[in-house]
Amino acid sequence: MKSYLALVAAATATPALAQQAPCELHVWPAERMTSITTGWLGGGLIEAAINSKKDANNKAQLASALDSPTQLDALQSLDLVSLLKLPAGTTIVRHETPVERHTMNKIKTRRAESTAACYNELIVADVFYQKAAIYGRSLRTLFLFREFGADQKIDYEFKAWGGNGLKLFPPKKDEDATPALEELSVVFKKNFEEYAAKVKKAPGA
Amino acid sequence: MRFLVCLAASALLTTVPLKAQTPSDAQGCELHVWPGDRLKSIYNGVFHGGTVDGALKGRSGYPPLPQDPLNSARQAALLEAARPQSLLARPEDRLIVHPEPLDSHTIRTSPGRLGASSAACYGELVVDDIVFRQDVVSGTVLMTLFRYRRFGAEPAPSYRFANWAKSTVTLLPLKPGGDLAAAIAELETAYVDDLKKFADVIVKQTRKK
Repeated sequence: MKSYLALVAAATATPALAQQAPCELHVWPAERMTSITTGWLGGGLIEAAINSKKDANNKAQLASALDSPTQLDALQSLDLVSLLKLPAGTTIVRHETPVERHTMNKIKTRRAESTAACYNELIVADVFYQKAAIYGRSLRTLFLFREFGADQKIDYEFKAWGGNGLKLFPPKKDEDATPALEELSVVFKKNFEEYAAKVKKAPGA
Repeated sequence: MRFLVCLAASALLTTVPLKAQTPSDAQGCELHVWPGDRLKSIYNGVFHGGTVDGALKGRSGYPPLPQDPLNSARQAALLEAARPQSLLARPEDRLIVHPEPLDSHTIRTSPGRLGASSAACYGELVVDDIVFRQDVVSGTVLMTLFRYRRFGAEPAPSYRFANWAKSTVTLLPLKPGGDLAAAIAELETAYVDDLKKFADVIVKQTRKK
């Protein structure tokens, strides 16, 4: 966590803004990939055993297609500052190492060693492929946004699942997988945009 | 008669060079190959699973793997030895194996050539990712994501194909008393098998056309 890569964003910050120490948004990717396929049996151990191979392959493909850099790239291709209603000039700090999933809720203080008076965190908690008998295939994601003041106390927190349908993923055997792999990034971004639209509208979770 | 001999000789002269000049030779075709980065692992157990590189991160319940068992340098050597140009049915292509892997951002977002070559006939084969996938029910496989593109005079590829290939692995994670060298050798064989499976699909597609 100490060795995060400071990133861009405030490239447009004016010298005056820089002097005022701009707000920071720290972003972490997810480390956990999940896949659940359910059929007409309604889930359970038998279903899990039947679909074990499929789900194992899907998880591996997600781990690759939505690896940490790709998740961060996808988020950074969006206007995170506007989407999360942060002050203009907010610096985005990119953390390449995912957050340990089990610490996500436990840690209630700042994860980065920043002392910025205006500090925010965005964590991709889970990436989850789901295939259901009736609803079809979808990519579900869990995001967590936290806003801190000048201290270590969380002023606002919003955590929510979101999901959108997939038409191409998982790629078929012997077919070009490029469109299916690209679809994951597109849907991942769409999930985030829908999540971000609820940030600060919904009461803190 | 003299005319016929001249005609035959002239036909021979025009035939021989044409036969020798396959498209590869004539245009100096190149095949650029990049190895993948570090092996990722993903494990699905009964009580644990889903965390990428869980063993490497020291998470409990994740079977340990050897440190970096298939590094980029070794991959590059395996790729070179496998003669991917022949596997892709382009044996005359000049093979250029790059020693360093490309980062995933570059691989996934570059619309044009990844290599600095300006050869009129240019192909590239990239190992985008390698995942060691373990599942308590369905077993262990090495999954490799390959991307193959061909370029002509245009900046955009004239052909592209990407997909996963997978091969069964039985010796890793190492059991007590297991032979590490044999396990690594098996992993390397699986890697080359993945390449062969991927190339085979492309060759079949090309033949269909």
